Amino acid sequence: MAHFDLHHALEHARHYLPAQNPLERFVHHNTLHAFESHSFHDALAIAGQLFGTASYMAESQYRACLGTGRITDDDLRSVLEEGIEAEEVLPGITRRHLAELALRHGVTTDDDAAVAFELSEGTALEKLCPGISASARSRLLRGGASERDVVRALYAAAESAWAAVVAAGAPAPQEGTERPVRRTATEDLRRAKLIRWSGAYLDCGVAEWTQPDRSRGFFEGFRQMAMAHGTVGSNLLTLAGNVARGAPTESAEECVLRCLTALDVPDDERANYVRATLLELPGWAGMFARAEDRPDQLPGGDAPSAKLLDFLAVALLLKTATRDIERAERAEAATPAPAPSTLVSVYRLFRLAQLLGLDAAALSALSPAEVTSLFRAWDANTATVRLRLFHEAYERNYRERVLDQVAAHLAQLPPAPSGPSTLRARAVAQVICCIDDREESLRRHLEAIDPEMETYAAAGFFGVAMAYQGFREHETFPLCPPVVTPRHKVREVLAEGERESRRVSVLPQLAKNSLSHTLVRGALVALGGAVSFAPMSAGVLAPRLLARATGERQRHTTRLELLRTSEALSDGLLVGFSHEEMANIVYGLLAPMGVFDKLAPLVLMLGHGSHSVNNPQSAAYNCGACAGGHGGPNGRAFAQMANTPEVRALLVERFGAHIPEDTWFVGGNHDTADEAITLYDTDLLPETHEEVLKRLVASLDRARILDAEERCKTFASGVGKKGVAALRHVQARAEDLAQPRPELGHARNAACVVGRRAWSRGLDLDRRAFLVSYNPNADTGKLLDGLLGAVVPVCAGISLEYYFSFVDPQRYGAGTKLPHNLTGLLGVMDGHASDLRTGLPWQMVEVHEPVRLLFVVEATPARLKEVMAANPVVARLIENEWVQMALIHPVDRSQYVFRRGVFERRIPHTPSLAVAS
Amino acid sequence: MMSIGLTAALGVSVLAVPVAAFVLLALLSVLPGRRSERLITNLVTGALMLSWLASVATLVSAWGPVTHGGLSVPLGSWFSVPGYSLQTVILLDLPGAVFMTLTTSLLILVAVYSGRYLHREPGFGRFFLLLLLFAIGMLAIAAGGSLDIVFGGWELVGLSSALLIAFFHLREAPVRHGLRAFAVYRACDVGFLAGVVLFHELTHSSVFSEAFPALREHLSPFALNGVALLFVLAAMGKSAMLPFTGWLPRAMEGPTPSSAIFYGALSIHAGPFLLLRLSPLLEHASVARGVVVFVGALTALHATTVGRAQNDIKSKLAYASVAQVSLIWVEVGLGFTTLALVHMAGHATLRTWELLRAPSFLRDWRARETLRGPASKSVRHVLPQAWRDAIYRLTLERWYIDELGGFVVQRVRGFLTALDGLDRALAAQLERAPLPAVETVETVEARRALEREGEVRRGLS
Repeated sequence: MAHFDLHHALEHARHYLPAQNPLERFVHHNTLHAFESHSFHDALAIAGQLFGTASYMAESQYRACLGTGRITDDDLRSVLEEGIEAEEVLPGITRRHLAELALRHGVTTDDDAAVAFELSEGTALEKLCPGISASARSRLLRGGASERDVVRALYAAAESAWAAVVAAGAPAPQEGTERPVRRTATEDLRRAKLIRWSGAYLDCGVAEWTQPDRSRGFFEGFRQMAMAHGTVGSNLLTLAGNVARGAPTESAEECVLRCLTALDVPDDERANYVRATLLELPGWAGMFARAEDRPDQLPGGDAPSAKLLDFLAVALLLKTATRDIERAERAEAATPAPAPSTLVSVYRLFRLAQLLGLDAAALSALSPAEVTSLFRAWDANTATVRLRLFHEAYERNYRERVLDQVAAHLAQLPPAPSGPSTLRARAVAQVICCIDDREESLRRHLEAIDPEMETYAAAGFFGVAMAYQGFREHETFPLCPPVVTPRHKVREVLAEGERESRRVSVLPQLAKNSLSHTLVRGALVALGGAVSFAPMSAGVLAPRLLARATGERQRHTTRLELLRTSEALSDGLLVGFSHEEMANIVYGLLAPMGVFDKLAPLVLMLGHGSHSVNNPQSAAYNCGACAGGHGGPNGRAFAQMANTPEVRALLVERFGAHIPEDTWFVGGNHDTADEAITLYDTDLLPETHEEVLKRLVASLDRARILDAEERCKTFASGVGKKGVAALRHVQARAEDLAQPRPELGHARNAACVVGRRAWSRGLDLDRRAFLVSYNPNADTGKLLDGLLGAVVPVCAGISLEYYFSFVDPQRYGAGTKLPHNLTGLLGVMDGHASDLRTGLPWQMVEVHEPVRLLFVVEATPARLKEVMAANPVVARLIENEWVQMALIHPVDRSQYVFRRGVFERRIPHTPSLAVAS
Repeated sequence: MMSIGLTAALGVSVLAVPVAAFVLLALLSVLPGRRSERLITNLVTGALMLSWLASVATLVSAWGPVTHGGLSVPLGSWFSVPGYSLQTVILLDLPGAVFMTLTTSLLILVAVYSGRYLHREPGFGRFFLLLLLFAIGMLAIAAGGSLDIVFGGWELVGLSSALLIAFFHLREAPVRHGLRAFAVYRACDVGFLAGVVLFHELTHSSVFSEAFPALREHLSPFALNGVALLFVLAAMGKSAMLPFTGWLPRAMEGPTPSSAIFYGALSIHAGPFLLLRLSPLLEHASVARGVVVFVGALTALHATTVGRAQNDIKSKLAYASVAQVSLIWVEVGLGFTTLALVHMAGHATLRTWELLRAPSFLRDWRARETLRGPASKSVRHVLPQAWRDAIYRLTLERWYIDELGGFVVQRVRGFLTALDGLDRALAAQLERAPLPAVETVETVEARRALEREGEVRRGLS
């Protein structure tokens, strides 16, 4: 018998819990990150079993795509050829044929009652099955008998055929529908109790009163309070106290072991039991685990010390307390599984025969063994098989369209240059954005407005990993990818000679206060509460105007404290960067773009973020590369670094990289919700650059309006809005309290293009693609390794989180936003007391198309294999098919697609004549 | 200067317009196909706007001489039986007009808000239908000139409230909590119903303008207090006073705007408003007023302590609401009717605003932190740890009122089961024959399966 190791079991179980940060630090990640060592489809099957989740869209949704052309016959044929063998089951009937029928027509999962209804009330015994193929139809009707007679004869034949099968003693297995186990009343009470106590313990600033002396830890505090609890009727704390008094001085670990024994869990089952217990409330358990791993991410600075072990111990204590009651309830609630019935089997055979075009005579001619093997082959198309095939076809459709679009676009361009130069002479200005898919349209519009401008993209923290403390803020916020722990602190301070004004606008502050929550102050506020009718009606009826009237205005000129002047640590962080560190950052970002020798006179480092009101998940719309913060400060810091003469000198010295004398960098921020673009430190701009800045600002102004127009097409209330009206519309959305969709985030993201902008310029990717600047000609060493090492996991994480939140919004996603209830400043619950809802809310993902992200990388197969060999994380995502990988050869522009472990050459359809859509 | 006729017509239209809109929307929703969201929103908002205009006009006239002290508009009798006739009467007075204006103004904002908030949500039409039903209920309470009308409104409010808590009916918790609220309402409405019957029995009328003047002459203090206490019971349920507070935090299951309008603003104030309406009765019922003050004060203490331990924003706002409503109870009990009315209007508005922006709490909190700096958390604790533990436990467990409820329900159920057993035994005695066998689920299913087989066979032949 295996010895049970609690710590091992707990560490193992931890991986299955959602790894979602507190809301303010929301970062996208693969919901099934723990399963990445399995191939995509296998992982989905395992996770689906474990969590009881759906892994794909509903079958009906895919089938509807057959009608709309989102899945073509070609797609279906292709995946069937790849996935199902053409082995004959009966003469003329192959497995592949059966699979196609199962996809097109579905497999009935009707129960007795539904079949009986269909037979007695529907048209099943009057007409042939709707939608069957013309050939099957003509075969069935070739005898000249009426449709009704044919159908009835066939049903009778199916009955006798099935009777023969039963007589032969080999009924075919059937796809059963499992009945989910309902939770018992006491189990619900127990969960509610655990939610209330653990939520109250973790609270970071909603409640005025938190658990006294939280330094005791969750388990110890709960235990002491339960033990001191008197007998109060049906209260579970009474029962838990009784259990706890059984060993009045035990530790959390001892308690877990004692409870497992009390619950009669055998040694080899214990690890699973621990996991199952935590998965009863995955959201809260996950938050305990997160708070234990990263206490620095909890808001408020007064974070309770949390341990997953404590949570487990309390959960088991409660479970032990209600053991006998729940067992009694379970015994009552147990229901027998439904047995397969003759009626359903006959009906299925009857229907299958129609789909195959077998008439009564042909069906009667089959031996019982043949019927059985036909059924076996038919049943082999389980729901999982059908959904996988459908999903592959659904993804293939998009992949083929995009790769053909790219091929057609490339065919219009002159041959690729072999040298490191681009197609154009030096640009007037360059904008370096985040790789975010939402910047794709802004870049496209900007380049179309002013052909002399160029855009590039890199991960939006621009290599500046810092803990940032904004002006007047009291905490730092990490502005770097979540896998990086920042070591440098950067503060925003007043510029020299500025005086701080302490004047704050009273009105907006009043609305943000919670004075009215208490009794006496609340009464005073409430007596004059009628005044709040004014901001409320303005906020509901004219949100944009209210925001403008009450918005905080920037009154101070500030600077970043960027250069490190002393090695003293502040909160364990270095304050600022040294010149050498700056040079490394600047080189690291600009080198893969291959842009050094052709930097324009003005380079805008444009970070991004998003702001919206009444939106607890607003951080999820921010820059993922900045850990859910705004990337503006990173752009600003980068610009300041690259403008420093010492840094430029070091670049030449260390890397031989020259930044042209007259190049000036400016930092900025793009708000993807209201399309505001803010530029920083423009007062430091040399006079010589003022003209070009003016030109850039004018073009950006035009571009953001076009961007707003493009976005308005996707909003029901914004359709048809043009020009300034479109801009106003997106501004109002961000300020509207009643708006659950301030913007659509990464919804519909489907591709990631890594390569030179020279060839993706002008390609309309419909805001669906991440764009990463990479110049293969400038890559003499390991640049692609580093680039893909960062880009593949981040973009895959975003895409997969959208995928899972879309296919199962209730369990992988956070469900609809409307009943969400902010809890403890950490997460949201549904209404009064539910598990913490992790994942993305439905309003964020509802327009998404769940496909695995299609990477289109400008590299040779050999080069990419090197990258995979050097980077196991990237290799795992590609080989296990969590992403799709396609390559464009840098020289001859041929295409390769990674399928079943190898890069296959892909020949584009309609090569030269196609017009890019 | 408005004539009586015009004022009456305005008063009637406050109620009539939403009723018409409700009927129209209900008819629309039985048509096949989907209704456009815009059509639904415009219909509801438009109706509420008209109703609002009429409310404001009524409010203006309430200060004028025509309706000074209340104008009772009889609209005829709905039906009559010997000894009773249901009079349709509308009462236009200052408190009513204030409440009508408050109701319609807040509802307009909530309707506009919900039109965007519920975009593409399944149940969009249902939400607005229930919102209108609620509006009708609230306006009937505000404008009803007789206890019968007020009771009708009272029930509509309860029904729409329960249905909106259970708006997300595919999940279990909302349905359970909706049912819980409904059960509390029904239990407390026993008081209302009994009160109406007794009131009518004693004064021979349920029309306020007829019954109130007759109160003093006819009634003993005992009877007055008894009737008043029945109405107090009804109001306790709607206002979530102790010991019924438990349903309120659980009512936060619906969409945010419905939580705002029901439990921040209107429904929860229906209780004190009913007491205001009945203030001529309460004036003579000093015991009942004492109970009102006591219940209010106790609930205020309960809500403010329990509220402090709540760690989610909607529960916190729910308890903050109850705290203020219980203060309004105290004011009503002490006879400060004007203060109560001002408090009610101010609180309803403020709380709606707060609940509508509840999802902003994190952002607001962050803004406050930035402005103020981290609050100093070092509070000197004078109490010993064990006491602080005990107090905290008491608040987090919400004073054990859920357990109290469970206890009562169990006893009642036990009592009813015993009665049922007695009833069966007696019936068996009377009939001197065994009871017929009861059909179980299994036997029903077996019988149906046999019938189905038969039907299919018949269909084939």
